[in-house]
Amino acid sequence: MSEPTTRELERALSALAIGYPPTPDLASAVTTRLSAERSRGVRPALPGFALWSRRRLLVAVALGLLAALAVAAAARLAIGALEIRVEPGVTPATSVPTVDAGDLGRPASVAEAEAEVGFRVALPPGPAPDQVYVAEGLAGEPGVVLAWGPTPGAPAIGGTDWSLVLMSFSSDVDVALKTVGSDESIRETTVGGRTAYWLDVPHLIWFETDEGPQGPYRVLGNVLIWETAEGITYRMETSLPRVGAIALAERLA
Amino acid sequence: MEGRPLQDPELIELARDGDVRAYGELVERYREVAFRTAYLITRSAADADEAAQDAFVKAYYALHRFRTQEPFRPWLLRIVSNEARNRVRSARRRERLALRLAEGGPSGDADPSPEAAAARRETQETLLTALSDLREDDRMVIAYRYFLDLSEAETAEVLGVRPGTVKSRLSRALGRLRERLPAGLTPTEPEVADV
Repeated sequence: MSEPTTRELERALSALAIGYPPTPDLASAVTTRLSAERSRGVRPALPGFALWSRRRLLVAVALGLLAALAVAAAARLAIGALEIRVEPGVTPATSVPTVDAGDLGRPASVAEAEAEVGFRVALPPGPAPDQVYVAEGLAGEPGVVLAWGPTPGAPAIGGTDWSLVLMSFSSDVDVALKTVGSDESIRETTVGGRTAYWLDVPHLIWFETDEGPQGPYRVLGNVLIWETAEGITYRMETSLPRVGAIALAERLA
Repeated sequence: MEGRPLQDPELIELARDGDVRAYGELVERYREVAFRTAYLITRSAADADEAAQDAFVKAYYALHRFRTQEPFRPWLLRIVSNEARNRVRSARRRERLALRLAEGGPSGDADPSPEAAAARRETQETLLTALSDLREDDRMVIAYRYFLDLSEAETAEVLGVRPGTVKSRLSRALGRLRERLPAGLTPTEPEVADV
């Protein structure tokens, strides 16, 4: 007997009767949740705000803080698409949510991501990323977010399912703002001979979107930020220590 | 106009204004396909329930980003599939159940003999096992097209790719499925009556 033809396979698949469990009463569950949240004052966001929704409550807080930061920022460090501000005394409250790589965009392949962002996505040696996302809505130009799951040698970053998250953006846009509580939290270093910054303390991040800043979100991983000569800004969040992170960054190809 | 069921764009407009009941209508309209999408990814009824529920809540707060001239279903299912995938990732070590066939045999069966029914069931079990062994992106492009009956355009929207990419992904997924089928197995399908 020969292999099934595509047509035979398609018809057989269409005829498969999957044994789905009974569909739960989602309408009641969802409306009950929404009504409860509404009674606490949560409503659908105004158009133009937010990359994602459940953190919407924080937008007003974020904007207020940003306004305050604009006045009070004591020091600013910019590198490509990212800016770091020192705001003395800022300590991320545990109530501030973390952000998952998957919240930042939609899944794609590396090739699809490259087609969207218009630059080559550099990958570190070793296993391919477990997830690739195209980050849309960030300051007008999409970026790429690559994420790797934890391994025995690289545990998950706090608040995420990942051990390594590598974001890349065109340096032509302002993508994110980080605030740290002390300039001693920022260590200047180099990646491939170019200036880089290393942060290994919890800090806050806002993402600049087409519609304004979104955040704050709490960052618990170690972060390395650098820019390449080609004008691509990288942000690596990892559970690796500084030396390991820099070594990995320098091996991107 | 009294009694006319509201169309999706009308319900969405109401929901955007904070009308939770209107949104409940939308949930009711799409709860089955949402739950099934989540189930096909998580292969757990409990996880699928949570994922679908969270996705509906998330979609409610994201309604302002939805373009009302576009179909709601693929936009929603994209959120559902993201939620379901997040659950699978966070439960990576957990054993996931295999998909199974519905009790009572394949749909559309025109009263076959017991032997024919048994043979068909066995073939379908084999097909389902082979499908369960596929990696998620292969499994889901097949599931969207043949189990959930989404169009190519809808599948593209859910996957966040171009329609042409759906074609090529589907072709590759079917090829990999075929490789997993035992030699000589010819999937039989019931005769479907013209409607």
